[in-house]
Amino acid sequence: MSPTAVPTRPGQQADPAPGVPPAPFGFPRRLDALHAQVLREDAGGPPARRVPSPEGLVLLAAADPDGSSPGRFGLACRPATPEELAVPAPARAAFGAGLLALHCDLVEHTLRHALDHLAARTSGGADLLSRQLVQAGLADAALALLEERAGGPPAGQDALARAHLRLVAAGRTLLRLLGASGFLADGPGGELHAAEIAANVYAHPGTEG
Amino acid sequence: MSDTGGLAAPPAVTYPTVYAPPAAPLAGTDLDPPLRALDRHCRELSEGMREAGAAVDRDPDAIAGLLHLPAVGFQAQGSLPPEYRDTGAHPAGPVQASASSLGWAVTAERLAYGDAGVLLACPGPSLSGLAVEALADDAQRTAYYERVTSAPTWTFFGLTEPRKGSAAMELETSLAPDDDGTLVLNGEKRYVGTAARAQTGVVFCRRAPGPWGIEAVLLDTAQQGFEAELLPMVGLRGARISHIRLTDLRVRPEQVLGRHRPPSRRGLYGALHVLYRGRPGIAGMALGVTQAVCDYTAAHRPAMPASARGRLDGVLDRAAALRRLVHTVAGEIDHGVVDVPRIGAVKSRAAALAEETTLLAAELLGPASLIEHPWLEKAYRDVRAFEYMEGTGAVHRLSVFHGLVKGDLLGSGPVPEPYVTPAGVSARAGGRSAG
Ligand SMILES: Cc1cc2nc3c(=O)[nH]c(=O)nc-3n(C[C@H](O)[C@H](O)[C@H](O)COP(=O)(O)OP(=O)(O)OC[C@H]3O[C@@H](n4cnc5c(N)ncnc54)[C@H](O)[C@@H]3O)c2cc1C
Repeated sequence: MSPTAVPTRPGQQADPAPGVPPAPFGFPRRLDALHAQVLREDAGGPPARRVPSPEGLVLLAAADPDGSSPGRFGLACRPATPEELAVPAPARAAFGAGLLALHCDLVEHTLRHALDHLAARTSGGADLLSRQLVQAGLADAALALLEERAGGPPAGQDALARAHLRLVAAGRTLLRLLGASGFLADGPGGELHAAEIAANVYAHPGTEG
Repeated sequence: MSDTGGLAAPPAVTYPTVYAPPAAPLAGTDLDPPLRALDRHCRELSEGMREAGAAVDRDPDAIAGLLHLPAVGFQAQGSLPPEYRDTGAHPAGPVQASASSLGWAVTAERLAYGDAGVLLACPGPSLSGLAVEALADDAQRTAYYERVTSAPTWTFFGLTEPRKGSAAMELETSLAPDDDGTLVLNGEKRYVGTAARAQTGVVFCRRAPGPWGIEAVLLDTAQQGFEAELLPMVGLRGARISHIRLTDLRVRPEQVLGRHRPPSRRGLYGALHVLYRGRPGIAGMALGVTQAVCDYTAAHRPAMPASARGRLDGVLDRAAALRRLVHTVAGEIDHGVVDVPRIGAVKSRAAALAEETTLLAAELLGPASLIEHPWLEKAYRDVRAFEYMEGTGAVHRLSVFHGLVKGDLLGSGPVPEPYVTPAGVSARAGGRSAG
């Protein structure tokens, strides 16, 4: 398969600095901001309450870099308090839609990073972005994103779960395209793992198999 | 960064104590008696690896306190020539059986069923030993094996660079004479397993342009000019991938592996020799975790609806088929036939299956399964590594395509020529030597 030349993108680096992680998306921080926004507690600082999952768990930003997962990925999980369990259905639905939008934004962030990353890596005299297999992977991820955003808010928990699973697949495609840099905890690999945990807690497809 | 939201200190991670790897030979296996004995032996050795795996996931350097585990000592034995083996500590039959490519695939699968991260964290020759076996002269070989058997010794195999991963043949780390004629190494390596904790290892570098300009150098990490740091990994943290910086590191002539060989049988030849032989082991590990995840899911959800059970069975069907393929390609390597596209194909398919299996298990084990099943959450992170190790899926797919066009990939065409890469590098050579 011969490389297909691609036009240089604005802002593209000639030589990547592989030791420098890409700009963080900040998934855990944004998750907490979503809790605060939905519960109207966005007066600054961490919210006092969070939105519970259907099973009564709460996922929040709490970094524990030297601890176990999910603390290493900036998240902690605890049972919801009685006050949190009383969060009404509309707020829960708004949180569900917000979490899906956050997942979409993270996949887009990773896609943009992958474009820059692959444009700056060369093989056989051409950049990796010019390889058709690479192009197809990036295009697939972009199409998945386009479709998700066009679909509107999912109706019901199962539809929400299915949408997250599609985004997980798109995210995994991008992480494969990032090579081993996609397996570093301080880059998109770590952030997407956090998003996958959030989807697993808040938007699970149920157990009907 | 943020508050703890009312959280107490996180509890130590404990995994379920019931550990019951399948006793019968795994589906898809057709092993002769010595290999069946090896399979049984490794099944027993994998006991205790889950707990060790949790410790290594939390702190990869915890392996230093786990050297008493029999699996840790055993895994390296087959990669040592017989005269260097610890015959008092390990039964000779299984050790000898583990010394082939097929034996290593069997060993890797059973021990990865316990924990793949622990397996990769272990001291021993690992890939650097394969490079020494392929390239070293007698003096180099003796010095190397004496070193790695005198005390627990961690080693590394440094090929990938910050700017060159899949395109490893374009590597840029340089080996050049300085003013007084001493060879000096300069460059960087990245994602190299164990390098920041190793005592010795192999670095691939360039002495001249072109494929034959690549050399393999055996380094001591205490040498001036060697620096390495651990990289933070999503999973499989026992692999301890590292970033290496080589600055004016002075290389003695006896450190150049295969200095007695012609350039076409030195550096690049050694790298390919190692990678082709390493892949069945990675595939074995991926299948070991796949099997473990299936067994874990079935054990934790005994009353599964037929549709869910069917999806899990679909994974097991594929695992059995891939296991058979892994054993076939590994057995061929042991007979001197290196079918590059098929070796890469089974590695990348096994890696993809392992990833799919963990996603399926997370779905089947219900909401918050990744919180309630810390072992699954770890396996879910760990398996993603297999995609990158020893070549990405895309690179292997392209190789499969070439295999399809050129020859006998599907088994119905003419008998293939021994594989010759476009650069003319013969890949036909012996298996993991028993010494
Ligand atoms: C756990 C782990 C352990 C490792 N251990 C070691 C080790 O011990 N020693 C060592 O030297 N290395 C090691 N590696 C590195 C590994 O070998 C590389 O990650 C791998 O070779 C891919 O290189 P890369 O990450 O730079 O990806 P890149 O080469 O940058 O690839 C990026 C993407 O482009 C695709 N791509 C690349 N070239 C082409 C092409 N021609 N056509 C189409 N698509 C292409 C790839 O498939 C990938 O999706 C390890 C990696 C991991 C994750």
